[in-house]
Amino acid sequence: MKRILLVCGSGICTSTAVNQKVTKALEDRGLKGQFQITQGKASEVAEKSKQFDLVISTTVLGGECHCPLVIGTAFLLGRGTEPIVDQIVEILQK
Amino acid sequence: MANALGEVYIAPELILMDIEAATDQEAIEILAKHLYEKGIVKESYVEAVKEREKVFSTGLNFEEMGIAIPHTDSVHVNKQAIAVGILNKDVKFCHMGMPEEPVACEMMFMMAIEKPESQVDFLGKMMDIFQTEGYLKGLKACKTPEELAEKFGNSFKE
Repeated sequence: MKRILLVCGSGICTSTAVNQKVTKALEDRGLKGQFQITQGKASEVAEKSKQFDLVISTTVLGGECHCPLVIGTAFLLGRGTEPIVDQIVEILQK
Repeated sequence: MANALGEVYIAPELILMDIEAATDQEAIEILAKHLYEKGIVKESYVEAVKEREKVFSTGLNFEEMGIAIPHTDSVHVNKQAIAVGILNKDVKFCHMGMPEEPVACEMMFMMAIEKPESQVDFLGKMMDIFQTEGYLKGLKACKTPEELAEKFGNSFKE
């Protein structure tokens, strides 16, 4: 089980919207049941990212990220998501 | 106007059709003060949303139009609502997640969020609506706040 930390400024609003899109995109790629998404705040990344395989953020991070990081704003725009999904899949399959 | 995705107030009184602003901070202040005057947010919202934009920018470069969705913490909010502001000329915001990338924004959708858990579907749905071809342009082309509020509010009804 791969662990994804999904963050935005507040940890609620934007990351929730992106959560649905990322979940669907990864399930479409046949990864259902192989990942777990946790939502959080950008300010928590420095502290929490060590426990995750990947951070997806829709905002700038205040501190250091201790695992691979992907900017997920494309999921809100609904375009340019394929390369991002490719990148996420590649990280998760490592 | 209630809608299918929780109680989010959308109304003509929260729509400004002709905002004159040179910067994102000016544009945000105008719409945020309007929300305060209508009793939707506390006075503290105005500075809070401006400050938050500096740290977590909210410009989004949709295919047919750049927009911004400024928002801030629920402690500053009295009533859940979304205000819409049409900018009379493009205003440069920084892109969400990529602050080095400027976005020429034509509209602002300012969210006053009181109960974040009820927003779960709202923002995702709004993003889907904004991706619909012709939608944002159609919204901007509305002649009156009444027309815009009706069109926007109806988009959330299943």
